[in-house]
Amino acid sequence: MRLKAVKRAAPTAREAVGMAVILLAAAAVPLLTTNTYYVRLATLVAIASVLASSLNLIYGYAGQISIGHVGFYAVGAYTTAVLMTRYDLGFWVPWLTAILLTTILGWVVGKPVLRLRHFYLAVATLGFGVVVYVVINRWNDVTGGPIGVLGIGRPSIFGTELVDSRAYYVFVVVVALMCLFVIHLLVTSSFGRTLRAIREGEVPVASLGIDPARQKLLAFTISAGFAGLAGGLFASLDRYIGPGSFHVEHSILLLAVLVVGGLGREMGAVAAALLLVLLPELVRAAGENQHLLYAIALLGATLFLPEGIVGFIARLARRVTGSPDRPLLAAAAAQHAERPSPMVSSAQRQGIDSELLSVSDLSVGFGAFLAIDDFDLLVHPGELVGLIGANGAGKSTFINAVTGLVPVRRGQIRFDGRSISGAPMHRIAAAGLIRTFQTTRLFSELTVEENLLVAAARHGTESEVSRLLRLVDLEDDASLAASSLPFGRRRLLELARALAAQPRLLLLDEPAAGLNEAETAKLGDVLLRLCDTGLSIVLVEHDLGLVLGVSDRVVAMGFGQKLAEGTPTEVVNSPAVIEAYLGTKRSAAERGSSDPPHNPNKKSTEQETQWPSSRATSAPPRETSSIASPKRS
Amino acid sequence: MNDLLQILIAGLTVGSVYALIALAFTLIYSATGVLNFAQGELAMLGAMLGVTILGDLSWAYVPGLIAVVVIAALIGAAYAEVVIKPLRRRRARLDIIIVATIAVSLLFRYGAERIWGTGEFAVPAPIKGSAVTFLGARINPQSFLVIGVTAVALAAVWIFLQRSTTGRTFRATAYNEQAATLLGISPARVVTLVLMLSAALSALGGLLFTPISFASAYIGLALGFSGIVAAIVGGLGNPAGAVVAGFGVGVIEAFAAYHVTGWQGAVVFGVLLIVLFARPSGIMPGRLALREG
Amino acid sequence: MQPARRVRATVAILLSIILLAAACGDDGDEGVTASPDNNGAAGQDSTDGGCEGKSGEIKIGYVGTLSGPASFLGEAPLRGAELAVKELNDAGGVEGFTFSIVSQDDELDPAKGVAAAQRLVSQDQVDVVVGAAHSGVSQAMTEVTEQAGVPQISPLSALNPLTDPVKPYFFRFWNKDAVIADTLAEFSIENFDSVGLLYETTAFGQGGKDALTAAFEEHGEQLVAAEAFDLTAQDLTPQLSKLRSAGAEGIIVQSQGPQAALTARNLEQLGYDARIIGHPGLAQQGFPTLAQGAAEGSIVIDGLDRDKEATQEFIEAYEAEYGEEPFSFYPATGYDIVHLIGEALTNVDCDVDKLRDGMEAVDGFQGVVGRDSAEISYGSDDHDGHGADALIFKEIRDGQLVPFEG
Repeated sequence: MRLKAVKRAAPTAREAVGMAVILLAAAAVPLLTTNTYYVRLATLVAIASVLASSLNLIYGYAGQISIGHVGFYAVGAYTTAVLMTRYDLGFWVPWLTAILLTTILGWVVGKPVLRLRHFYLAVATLGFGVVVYVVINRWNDVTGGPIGVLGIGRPSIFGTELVDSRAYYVFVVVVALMCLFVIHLLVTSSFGRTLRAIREGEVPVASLGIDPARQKLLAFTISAGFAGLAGGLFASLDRYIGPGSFHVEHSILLLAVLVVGGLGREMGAVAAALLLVLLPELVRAAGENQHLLYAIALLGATLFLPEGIVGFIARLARRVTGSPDRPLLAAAAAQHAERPSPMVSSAQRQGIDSELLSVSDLSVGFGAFLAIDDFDLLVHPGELVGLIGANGAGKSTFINAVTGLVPVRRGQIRFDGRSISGAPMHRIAAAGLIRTFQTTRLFSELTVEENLLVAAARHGTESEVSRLLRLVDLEDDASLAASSLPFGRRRLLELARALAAQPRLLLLDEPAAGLNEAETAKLGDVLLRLCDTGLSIVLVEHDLGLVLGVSDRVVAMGFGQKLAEGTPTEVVNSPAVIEAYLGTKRSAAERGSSDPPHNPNKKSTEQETQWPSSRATSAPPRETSSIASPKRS
Repeated sequence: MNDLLQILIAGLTVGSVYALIALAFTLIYSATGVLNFAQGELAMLGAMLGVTILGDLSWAYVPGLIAVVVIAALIGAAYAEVVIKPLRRRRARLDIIIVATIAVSLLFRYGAERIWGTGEFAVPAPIKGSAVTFLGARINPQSFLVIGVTAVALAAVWIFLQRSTTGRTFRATAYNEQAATLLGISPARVVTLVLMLSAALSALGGLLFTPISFASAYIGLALGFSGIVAAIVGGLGNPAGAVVAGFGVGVIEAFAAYHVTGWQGAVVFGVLLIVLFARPSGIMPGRLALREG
Repeated sequence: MQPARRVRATVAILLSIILLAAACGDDGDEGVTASPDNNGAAGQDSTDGGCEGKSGEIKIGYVGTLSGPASFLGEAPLRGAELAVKELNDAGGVEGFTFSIVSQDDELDPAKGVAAAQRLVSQDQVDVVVGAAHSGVSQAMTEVTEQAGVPQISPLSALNPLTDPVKPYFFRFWNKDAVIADTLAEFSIENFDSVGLLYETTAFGQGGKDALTAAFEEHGEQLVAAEAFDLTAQDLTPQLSKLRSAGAEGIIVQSQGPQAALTARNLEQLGYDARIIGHPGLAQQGFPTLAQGAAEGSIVIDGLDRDKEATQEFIEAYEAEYGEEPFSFYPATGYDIVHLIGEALTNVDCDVDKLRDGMEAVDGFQGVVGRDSAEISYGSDDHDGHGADALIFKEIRDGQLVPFEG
């Protein structure tokens, strides 16, 4: 995890305004009122902000639903309370112990629980919340059972106990602001970006070499620690705690207000805290109808404010000011060297004869169905291998098997001499095997730039991102949300993202799908240039013109087996391939009408078309890209 | 040994209600992808309507039951039209939908509190007569009614889903909504139908249970809890799994109350967690659980 | 300055403002004028006839469970209190002081009780807090009332630790667990060969269980089994089966909610003929009504002696005001407390600020609750209210409480 400020988003004007408003409001409270009731409410808001932020970190940012989060809050509160009242240790030691304990507990609970997906994770965390509640309620000797813990003291600063409610308020506000600041640092760092990527999809994250499980666990652990911290503050507030405050209902309500406040936004947690504490006060005037009113308000918020309150305000602000949120600081322009740096260091450039990827006797099946049957493939450094075949031939399955997305039934896969069959996806990707997906799996809600930054974070190559974007012509769209790109450009983005992950072997799954002629041509050019820098590519494609035009070698697959292998010319003319594609064996004379695409630079002198492999025969990289568009056969 | 059977029957009786609620919950999920946190409150409404219709208005049991179920179905339809469908039309995010159902559950609960008050109510038992001795255990005849009617209802739902055209329509939509649309099926109508069915099943559960226990505006929380957890652990999207898990939760709860009194809540969840870790997709993960949130 | 530095500077300035404000604000914390220690000699020195020339209003803040299950715990005493307030005010008040009540709902949640107490003390500026019924809530509230120096009188909380050690501002009106438990134990042992317990997992239930276990031991006996249930429990068959296996002939039910009636129904359904011995929590209309006849014969502790004259007068007034007779003693607690406050007021020559001292000076107060002999006396080291002679054993016949006959 990196907390470096590299590429940290600069505070925007709007964020600064929001911050100022909060600070002013916080400062106003002790000035405006001596009413202990209001001061207590304000203190609760501050505590709730920390609690809501902790949940926001794991749920809003990392997308892992934690319904029993109040359980950590409870453990923090009780640890603080029990240590304070039993052992007369003051506030600080018990509180810090509580924070440590809940952090560890977060790790212990998170490790098994985060393996579960979605709703099962929800139930498991709910279970945690219930168990904590029952233990608190029944463990009379330690927690006082349903009676609770009384006589909890307040922290002492410079020898004076903060008995005065306003003094305690100030203390809590300062602590809360510090916590919010730390969380702010976390979510705006590359760690935060990785979490948001995980929320979009764990598989693509793993395919870039990052272990999502580890990141999730880290987020969960930190989140638990902050919840425990808030719990300790709560214990001292009323100087009494009982199980009633930690019932699972409160967890569910916390979740609800966080969603309504604005999930995944920092201010959303503050809005959630305000909702949680102040909404009941507002509806109290309705007397007997107050709960009903509360429910209606909540329902109304979900129906009419789908982005949450904070999202709604942000949208309103955009419309009012008419401009997007601008950074306060001019974005620090990264100075790039103009010359393209090699993808692969020269030390890694091996002879073209050594094997980078070696697949032998590969068999992959689903149930009774054999998707890949006894398949072999070798890839050398700097080589571009095209993989063609009809739909269902097993091409994507091949990529999935090699990168660890589907299990291998039989066979050996070696990368750089080491066996990788059975290794977890992120480990394979970390070794340098990066893939793209047949249906793009971008991090939709992240910007174009952020998609690459996530991949680059592991390698510390964030400064490379601009160059990569330029490579695929997406530099101008860097701040756009990935979801706003048209289809063809998304594939290019995914390619750029894969490149940002420092691949040694790139497995591209139909990168040209949806591209028009010009774009395809550009893509081919990019691929050639990449190979020149020492990168190996396995290109799965239906666009025969592209494949045959850029590949050093082509492998044809059919029904999970290898049909043919060789130079593009050889493969295209092989009987097995023709049979698979066209059905019947045709005479040489008939072949002319099927019109395979040809390169205008090369005169076709014979009926058998020569397929110029730009790599194997020519030495210098081509200046112009001109792979003619294929006429599809 | 007597106690064993006693507890088992008690557990199956409560479990019937959980099974109905779990089934109702999982049906909604299959058809709409929504986690309906208001499921327990729908059961509560069934119970409270029963109090009014069977108690205050003194209807006979069978017509009263039918009336309650029909009213509940109408409530389900309203729920679909006012809340669920608009959210789906807007392609609201999953968490917004969940919170909306939470809000609806509060609405039902406090609305019921305003209508019926804060107290508890009893409903006269439809089967008169005292306990029946069976294999050494004294069994409340009501239990037979509850378990029996539940079994009939479950069978009816199964037949409906497997055999009837509408049922098949529903299953098709659950599998692949887009494809179903292309075949001329209206997903919107399916949603309404499922909500109605689900509300009816939950209300039936609440109503069946009231004579054995009591009804109040607040019983929905605990009932819904157990039912929803059962649905998830049973394998979200799998109706059979939901039913099995529902009965399972009831039985575990009863045994836990007997053996480790006071800790039953923790024990139930402890067992569920163990199950989840052994089989992370639930006991019998549904084919219909292909919806990825 | 650069924008970022500007932001940071603003933050620093605002933080300083906050700290300064807190430091310079007045030390007085609470919004109530009452202070923990005796004020000057105001009332002491004057030789006037006590309350002569003084007048004003005693503001009572009432905290109770007004919603949810067990709402009768909050509603009934409040009704009695409001009746007393009305009667006293109609009669011109107590020594010229009128009464008023402001009520808040604690929703059976200690945290909400604390908030309610806070509100009453800070915003409504009440002179005395009445509440709560539920022990856990009362306990939590004492943190507020002790800090604020406002007397708190709980109509029903029985938890022993509430008065042990004595809290300067907390007073108990009703019995405490130790006494109730002792009475229950004695009675049960006398009338039944083997006794079991069924209790709720709340402060009330747990406190009762602890007290009962101790009481039985002191009498040289034991509970044959003690089974627990959550407030959300809807079926008690497992627990009752356990009790039956243990051979319990009498079951003490420590419950304040619907589970008491549920016990009766489950017992009937199981064909298990153990008799319920009820904590006063069962002395409410909901018990026989919800039990639908299964409660017949159940034994319940009540606090009303219908042969007492004061009680009869109270019942009449209550019926005139609310259209029905009180089912049991609950409304009488609120009624008596208001009178108690009135007496405390006269004890300190109507110096409202010294109400606490006035409470401690109460000696031999007799109200509606309890037998003829029942009375309340407080002292600086005794804040307990009624004793065993306020506990009257009754049984349910035809859905009503009648004196216990065996």
